[in-house]
Amino acid sequence: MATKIYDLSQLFWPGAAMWPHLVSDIQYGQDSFIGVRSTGWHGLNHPGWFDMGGQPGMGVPIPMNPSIHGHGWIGHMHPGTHVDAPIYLMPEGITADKIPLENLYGTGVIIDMRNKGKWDTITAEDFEKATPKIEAGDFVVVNTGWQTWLKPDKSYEYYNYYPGLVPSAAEWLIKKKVKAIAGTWPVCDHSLSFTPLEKNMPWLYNDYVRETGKEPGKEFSGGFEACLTMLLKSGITCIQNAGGDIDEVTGKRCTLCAWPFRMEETDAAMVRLVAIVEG
Amino acid sequence: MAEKLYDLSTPVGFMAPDWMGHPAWGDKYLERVHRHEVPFAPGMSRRVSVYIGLWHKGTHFDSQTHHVNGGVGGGLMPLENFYGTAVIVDFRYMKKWDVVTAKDLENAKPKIEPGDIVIMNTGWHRYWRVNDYIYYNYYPGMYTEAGEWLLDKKVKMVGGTWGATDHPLAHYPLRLMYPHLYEEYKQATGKDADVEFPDYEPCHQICSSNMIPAIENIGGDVDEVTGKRCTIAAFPFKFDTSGHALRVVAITDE
Repeated sequence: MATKIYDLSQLFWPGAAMWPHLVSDIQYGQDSFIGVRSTGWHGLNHPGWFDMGGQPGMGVPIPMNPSIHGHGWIGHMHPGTHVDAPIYLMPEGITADKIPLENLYGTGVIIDMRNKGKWDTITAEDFEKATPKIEAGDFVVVNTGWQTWLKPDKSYEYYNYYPGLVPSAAEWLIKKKVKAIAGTWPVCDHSLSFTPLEKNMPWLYNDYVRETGKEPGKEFSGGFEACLTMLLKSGITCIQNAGGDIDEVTGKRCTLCAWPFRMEETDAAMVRLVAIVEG
Repeated sequence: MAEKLYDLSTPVGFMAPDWMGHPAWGDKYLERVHRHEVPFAPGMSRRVSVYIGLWHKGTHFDSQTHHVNGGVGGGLMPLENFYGTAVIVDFRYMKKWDVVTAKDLENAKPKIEPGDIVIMNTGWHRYWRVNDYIYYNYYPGMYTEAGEWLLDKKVKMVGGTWGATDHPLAHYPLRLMYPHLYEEYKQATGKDADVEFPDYEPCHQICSSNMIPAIENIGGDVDEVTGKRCTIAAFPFKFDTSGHALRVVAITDE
C-alpha cells in the first residue's frame, strides 16, 4: 500500500483570523498591514514589479511569457499553523531555524480530546489516559475539535474559548520527555491563562466573570503563557493552530513532520504539519 | 538502521543574496515589534518580529501561480508532490554557464526513475553568501531540453543548488532584462545570449504548468547526500502564495 500524507495544517490568507492577545498587538495590527503583498501580477506584462524603479528588467516585454505573479509578506511569523521558537519567550532561547530537525520529525500520536468544550482544561490526567498511549520521545498532537472555529466569523470563539493546557499537563509532557506538542489551539496554554487577564484581554476577563462568577486570576494562576514557557525551556517543540484533516488520523500512531523554513533570527515560523501514514 | 536527517536548505538572513530582478524592498527582512529588552509586564517579555520581503528568497519553490495565470498557490498544491523517494545527482563537474543537457540527466547517478524527486547538485551553493555575483550570474543551469526531459520522465519535484530553475542566461530578452550579463557573456564568448537562449524561463513554465514544484537555492548539507537515493520531505506552509520559503530535508536509512 502506498504512503498516505494527511495535512494537519490550517490554510492562512490575509483575511484569516488572527491572535487577539495583547492590546499592543491589536494596536500594532491597526497600524500595519499583515498579509500577502503582490509584487508582480498577471494582469501586467512581466515583471511588473511594483516599487521597482531602476531595477534591472523593469517593464521589459517578454513575448513567450505574459506574466509572473510574485508574493511577498509583511507580517509576523505566528499566523496559521506555526512553530514557536524558544527565543519568542526567552531572551537566551534559540531561533526557529536552529531547532534541531530531529525535534520536528518522528513517530507520534494524534490524541482525541474532542470531548473538551469551551474553557475546559487539558490536564496531566488527560494525557495519562490518552489513547494511543503517549511514549517517551513522541511527537504529540492534540485534537480538541476546536479548529472548526478558525474562521473569520468565528474567530472570537476560536481565540477566546478554546480548551487548553494547564501547568500540570505541561509538567507531565516534560516528565514524559515528549519531542513535540501540537494542538488545535492558538497557543500551548489555556485561553484564560494570559495573566493579568483584566489588563491583557479585558473583554475575555469580563466575559468569564459574567458567565461563571469566578475570578480568572484565581482559577488560572500559573502565570502568563506558563505552559509554553515551560515547554520551550525543556526543548520541546511547540506547534499552534493544528487542524486541516486531523479528524481523519485522530487516534492513530504515525510519523509527524513540521519543518520551519531556514530563516535566521526568527522567533517563529509557519510550518506544514503533516501526518505520514505508511501503507 | 536509524534514520538520519540532512538539511538541504541554505540559511537566509540579513544581506542574503537575492535574484537580480527582485525589488530592493525585499531587503527589509525582520523588524522587531516586541523585544525582550522592553517587558510588557514585570518579568514578562517576548520577541515578535515582522518579516518584510519576498517568499522567493533562499531555499524556496515557485508555486503554480508564479507563472500560470489562475494557477494555485504553493500551499494548495498536492502534498504528495513534496514527499517521496529522491535522487541527489552529482553535477559538481559543471562550470560557469554550463547547461544541463538531456545527456547529463540520462547519465546521472543514481539513475533518475519516473516519479522521483530530483535534486541536482552543481556545487554552486559554495558561493552562497560568499560571492553573490558569481552565485546569481554564473551558475550552471537548465534550459528547455532538460525541462522537457524531466517532464517526459514524469518526475515529481525538482530542485537544484542554483539561483533559479532556469539558466541565468535563459531570460530572453536578456539584453533588456539583465544588460550587464548580456554584455559580459558577449565579451567572454563572442556569442549573443538572446540567440543562444531564445526561450524565457522555459523550465519554470514547464514545471508550473505541470504541477511540478521546482526548488531553487538548495544548499546546506547537500554534499553529504550527493550520489545517494533517499527520501525528501519539503512541505510548504499552507499559504496561497506564489512562492514558499522551504525546508528541504533528506531522510536516509543508515
